[in-house]
Amino acid sequence: MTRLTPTPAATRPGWTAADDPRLALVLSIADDELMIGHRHAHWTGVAPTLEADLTFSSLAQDEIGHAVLWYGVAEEMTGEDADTLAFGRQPSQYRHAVLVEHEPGGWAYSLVRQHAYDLFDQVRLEALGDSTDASITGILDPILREERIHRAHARAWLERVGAGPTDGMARIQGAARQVLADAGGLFERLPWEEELVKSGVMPVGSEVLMDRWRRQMAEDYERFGMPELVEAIDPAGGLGGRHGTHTAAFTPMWEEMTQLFRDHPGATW
Amino acid sequence: MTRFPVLQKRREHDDWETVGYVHAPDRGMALGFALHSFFRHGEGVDCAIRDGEEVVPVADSRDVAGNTDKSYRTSAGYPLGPKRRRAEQRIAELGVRVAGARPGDAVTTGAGR
Repeated sequence: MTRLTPTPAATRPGWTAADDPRLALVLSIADDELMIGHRHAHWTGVAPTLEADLTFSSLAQDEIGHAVLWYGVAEEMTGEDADTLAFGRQPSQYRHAVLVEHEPGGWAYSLVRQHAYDLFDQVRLEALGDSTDASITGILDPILREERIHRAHARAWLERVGAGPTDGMARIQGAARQVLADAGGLFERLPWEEELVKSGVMPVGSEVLMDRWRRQMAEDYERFGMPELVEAIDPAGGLGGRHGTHTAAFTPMWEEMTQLFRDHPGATW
Repeated sequence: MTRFPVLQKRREHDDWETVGYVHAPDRGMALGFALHSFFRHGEGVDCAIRDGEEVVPVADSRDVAGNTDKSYRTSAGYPLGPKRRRAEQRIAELGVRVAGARPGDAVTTGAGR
């Protein structure tokens, strides 16, 4: 592991992603992917069945792989290596939505969150397909292909649980209320979002993304037999993450994720 | 739970061969499990399950495996590739060889080995 600079800008005290609008966007995506991948990885070895275990582990690897791609874009923007961007920042410098930092909870919570997040990511990526920034559009194709099968995975589970015994449905509905209460944070306006939209780097703003996501959520929740729960989406819930304000769940997560990096600064592996 | 054989074609004109099994409540879940458990690294050109006498192709298999660049999931991928090449160059400069090391294993190295 090699640091390109001893005090990278993105890890310097006082630095904020708002210093660079494009970087703010790219890091918000990279951080989302890294955090959700870390949380999905919780199920490696402890999922309900071996097949479910392998599948969730595969999703986790996909998401962390996507984070690598996005940190690679940020690396080009900053000249700082991807590892430093991923593990070398202070908690308040991460720009992911708080929804993806919550502990995995039960199987129901993880499934419902996986569905809501992957649908959001698909909507976000499809919109970015029209971005004026070639470094963004250039990496979308493999990510989008994988996000589609992530959505298929979540749908397969939730459709079956929805059609199954009432206990399973009750768990899914309880988890959905929790997840959707924080969903607004996925669509929290980014620093300098107006400029990002004006320049076409972000082809549409967060409000438009939320409308698109909500329509697709309504279709899916109809299929799952719980259409009324779409009303539990709270646009004002789960805010703060895009500006570096995180929940208590993030501190132990950050400490665990970054421990090796912090214990051996500048180490070469 | 039903046990579904997982089939794979390594090359375009190969016959299906059984590469493993998945346990699933129905065909739809079995197809998803087969994709994630057996076909995420481009192991072949096509993947399917056997449901009774019927061979059921995994619809997304060609889209997510054989035609998708997964280099970023391995140490050969960007941006890990340069790091790996630096390590290989350094190893070559030292004239040592890492003999099958894994985390926690004893590492055997030595000039000229």
